[in-house]
Formats: sequence, C-alpha cells, structure tokens
Amino acid sequence: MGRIDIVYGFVLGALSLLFFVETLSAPASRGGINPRTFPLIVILSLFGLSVVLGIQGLLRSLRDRNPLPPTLPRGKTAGKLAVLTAAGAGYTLILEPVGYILATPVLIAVAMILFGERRPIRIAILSLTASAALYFLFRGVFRVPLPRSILW
Amino acid sequence: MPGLLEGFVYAFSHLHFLAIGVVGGILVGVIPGLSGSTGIILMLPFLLYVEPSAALIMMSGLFCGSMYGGSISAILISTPGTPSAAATVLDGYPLAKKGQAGKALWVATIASTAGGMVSALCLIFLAPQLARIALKFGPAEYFALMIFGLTIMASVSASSITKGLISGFFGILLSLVGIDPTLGTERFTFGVVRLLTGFSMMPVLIGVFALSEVLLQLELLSDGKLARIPHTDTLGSIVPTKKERKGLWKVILGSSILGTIIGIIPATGGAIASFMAYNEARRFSKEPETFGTGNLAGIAAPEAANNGTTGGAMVPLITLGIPGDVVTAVMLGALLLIGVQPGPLLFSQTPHIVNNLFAGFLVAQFLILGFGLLSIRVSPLILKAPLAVLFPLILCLCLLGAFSLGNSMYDVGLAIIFGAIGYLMKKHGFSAASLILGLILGPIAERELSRALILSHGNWLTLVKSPIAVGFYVLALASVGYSLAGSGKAGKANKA
Repeated sequence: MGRIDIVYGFVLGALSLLFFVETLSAPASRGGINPRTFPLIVILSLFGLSVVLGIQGLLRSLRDRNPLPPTLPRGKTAGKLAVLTAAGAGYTLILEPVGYILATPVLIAVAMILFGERRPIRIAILSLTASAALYFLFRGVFRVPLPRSILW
Repeated sequence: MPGLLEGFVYAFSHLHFLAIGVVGGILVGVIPGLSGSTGIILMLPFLLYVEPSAALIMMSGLFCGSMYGGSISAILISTPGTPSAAATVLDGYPLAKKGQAGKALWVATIASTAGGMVSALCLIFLAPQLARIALKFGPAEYFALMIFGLTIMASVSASSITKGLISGFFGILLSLVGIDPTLGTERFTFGVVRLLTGFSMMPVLIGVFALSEVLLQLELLSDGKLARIPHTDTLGSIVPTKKERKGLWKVILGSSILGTIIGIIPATGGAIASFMAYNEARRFSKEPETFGTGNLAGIAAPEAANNGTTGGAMVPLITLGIPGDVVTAVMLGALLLIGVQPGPLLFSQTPHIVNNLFAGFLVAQFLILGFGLLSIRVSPLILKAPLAVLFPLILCLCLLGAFSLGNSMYDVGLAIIFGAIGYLMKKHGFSAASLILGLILGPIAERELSRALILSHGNWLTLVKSPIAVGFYVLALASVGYSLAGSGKAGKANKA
C-alpha cells in the first residue's frame, strides 16, 4: 500500500493548499473573533498529516521489495464497478425527466445482472416487484413525492 | 422513577417500532458485509417520518439486534456477521460442525440477552449521573471534550493512526464548507451556490457507509471472494442439558459486566470486549483445553460481552454527545438528522425522550430473547438470501433514502460521489467513521471555541484554565498515545 499512500499524501496535500489559499480570502479579525482561525488549524493539521502519510508511503515502498498485490480493482471487476457507479449516476440524471416507475426497474435489473443474476424472467419479475414495493413504501407510507413518470 | 415508568408505557405502546428495529438489526447482523451502522443508514428515511422517541428506540433496538445477529452467521457459516462476533466463531462453528448448531445458537441468544440487560441497567443508572456533571460544562470544557472526541477518530481507524486522523480532519474540512457560523460569511464554496448550505449529513452518511459497501461487495463477488460457504442445516437439540448449562451463568454474568465497562470507554467496542471475555473465560475454566473445539462457555463469553458493550457505548453518546464506536457515530448523525441533540441538555429539556430510550433499550433485550429463540429454526434460511437481489435492493433504498430528505436529486448525486469516496477510503485503510466524527464534531468544536474566545475577549488561556478541560486534554493525549502504542505493537508483529 506504499505507493498508493504517496498518491493520497500528494492529493490531500494539494487539497489542503487549495483550501489554505481560499482561507486567506476570508475576512480578517472582527471583534476579537477571526473566522480564519479554526479552518487554518484544520487545514494545517491535514497538510502536516498528508506529508507524514506521503513519507510513510515512500519508506514502505522502499522497504518492501516484493511487489504488493494491486490495491485498485482491475479488468472485469473494475468494469463492473464502473458500470454500477455509472448506472447510479445515470439514475440520478434520468429519474426526474423519466420518472420513478420507468427508471427504477432498469437500475435494479442492471445491478442484479452485475451481481451475477442471469435468468431474464427472474430479473424482470424481481426488478418490477422490488420497484413497486419501494414505491409503495416511499410514496404510500412516507408520502415522499417520487418523480412521476412521463407516461402520465 | 415515575418518568421511567412512563417510558415503559411508551415502549410497550410503540413495541412495533422496537420490534422492527430488533428484527432489522438481527437481519443486518446475520448478513456478512452489513453491520449495525449500515442498518441505521438504511433505516434513516423511515426514521425521519416517526417521532424522535420512536426513532431512538428503533435505532437502539437495531444496535442491540445487530450485535446479536452477528453470532448467527459466526456459528452457522464460520463468518462473523459483524466484527464483534469474531470470537464467537472460535467455539460456535466447531460446535455447529458437530451437528449441535441449535445449542450454540441457544447459548448465544441467552448470553446476548443477559449482556444487553446488564448494559441497559448501567445505562439507566449511570447516564443521568454523568449528565448531571456535564451540565456544569462551559464552552472551554466543551471545546476540550470535542478535542477528546476528535482524538477518538484516530483510535477507531482500521489500519493506521495517520489515516484515522486524516479521515477525521477531512471530515472537519467538509464541515467547514458553507456559511461561517459565527460571522455568517461564505467560505470554501468556490463559487458553487449549492455548497452554501454545506454538505448534508444524510447523503454523506448513505454514501460512505452504505453505497461504498455495495461497491465493495460487488468487487468481492466479482473476484470470487464472496463465494457461499456451505452452511450447516443440522441444528440438533436446541436447549443444552443441565450438566452443560452448569457454571455457564457465572461466565455470562462476568462477561456481561466486563463488556459493559469496556463499552463505556470510547473507541473500544464489541470486538475488543468479546475477545477479552473469551480469554478470561478460558483462563478461569477448569477445562481450558476444550476451548476452540466447541465449548459452550466459549460462545457465552463473547456474546455476553459484545452485547454488554451496547448500553455502555450509549452512555457517552447520550450524556456527552461523544460516540464511542462506529455504530454510535452513525447513530449520532442520525439523531441530529431527526432533531435530537445528544448531551446533558437532553436530560433536562426532554427527559421523556431519555426515559423512553432507557425503557426501550431494556425491552429490546426481551425482544432479542423472543425473536432469537424463535429464529433459531429459521436462521439458516436467512443465510440463503440471494446477493443478486439483496444488494440491488440496498442500492435502490440508499438512492431513494438520499432523495427523500429534501426531494433533491442533488443529494442523490452527492450520495453517489461519497459512495465512491467511501469505497476508496475503506479499500485503502482510511476510516469512514472518523470522517463522520469529524463532520459532526467539527462544527461543535468551532462553535465552542468561538464562544470561549468571545467570553474571554480573545484570551486563549481560557481554554486551559478549567481542571475539567485539562482533564479532557490529558485523556485526548492518552487516547492518541494508546493508539500509537497499539500501532507500534501491530507494526512489530507484522515485521515478525
């Protein structure tokens, strides 16, 4: 995990610097209170810890001669994770224009396929049943106004 | 005491909420990969639509139920449903392999109930005393308390103290986005209007805890690491013989007390308590060599201890607003969402909520006993739940849950982004619980620091004038020191 820690150290350090610059644009002390104080404590602590993490990662990667197993998913697994995340993002985008009734069974069906279900009839029945059950729960019981379908 | 009686009336009149919490807890506890914290997140959309007391007893029922539920999969498939049930595997699974899973489940149920009862009594009698002391706290003491709370984040971190602290400070950084609470100025919005209100707790909680888990489970499944382990269907006789039960109550009582004490100490939790109780039970046993081969005391000790931690962990949560472990950290977030601010004022301003919680917590133990004994026959079926249906449902429930708070697709998008962040955090040893702790405690620490400085006209020494505040700073240092010592030992062990 040495190399990935260096990456995290770098990314978090850069994020801290970005927030540090933004903090400096905050108004200066007013009536004994400085709105910069607390954020600066947090940002400088995060920056310091990022540097420590980066150094720890560097030392670990120098010490460990044997290549460690990959810390990020690859191949088919990475593809599945990307599809699931994209399906969730797509659901977010189409839920309002298309409506709950049409969007939700598609999301559940895609997720079922990714989780290894291969029987089409089972996928169709379960995705429709689960969507209906969730609709009843949120719309019927909790009165959450789920986005309506373009069908009506 | 009359208040507590009213609490019991409330708990019995809202028994269905408690039952949903307990059954939901047992279910998430049984299924490996889900935990009490995930259960609370999944229940959040529903908690928002019930009154605070009912939501609180539902959550406490779920907390206790999940702690018990972990033992079922530990015994039947040698996979602890929750980390707290890891010690239960040592004797539970060998007993199940001998065809006596029913007996193991019976002992786990009785021990869990007893542990929960002892911890409930501790909660009822200890929490009000602690709250009375906490009422005397001023801003300086509260700031010190928050610092202590924030150092816990280092301890609850899974892999390293550095990553634990980074996760916590990242959480505080997120909490700074929006409007500055003291002067009302805009900060860290980078020109994005949506960020003026900051990051809502709900999508962040759903993302880092539940959606990240869906991604992790998909990865495990795809890599073939989530293959179903053939579980035992043979339960055998359920109630142990009189000879087998002999001496078991001593183990249960001792472990329950031990678990309760450990639960009160922040950043410890059920896993530590159960292994400590297991070791103690083995040390005091007349036949220590039988531990690991299916000794009933080896099941009773960890189960009594891990359920004992539940009431103990609730003590700092409701009296000081400081969570002691991951589940109570999530519970703290959920409480804030439903409009309940834990802390000493909860006892003086809304004593009925506290009494309802106390009574509900105790009644939950009886429900665990009832549902636990009833579920022994059907528990092997729960483990047959198809993952291809379960996780898509959880995914959908999460997205709709994020939507339900403000009927906003922005929150759904936020939950997905934090799902990806939570996935990376868990995968690379960062602590999702620390992030949530930072997000919750950060604004309180900032508010109390500002109040202390305003009252003292900008004198920073006010923060170390009070002995109570100094005491909390010492505890904070001890907490970090303890974690450092622990990580040092772990590092040496890894090298060896």
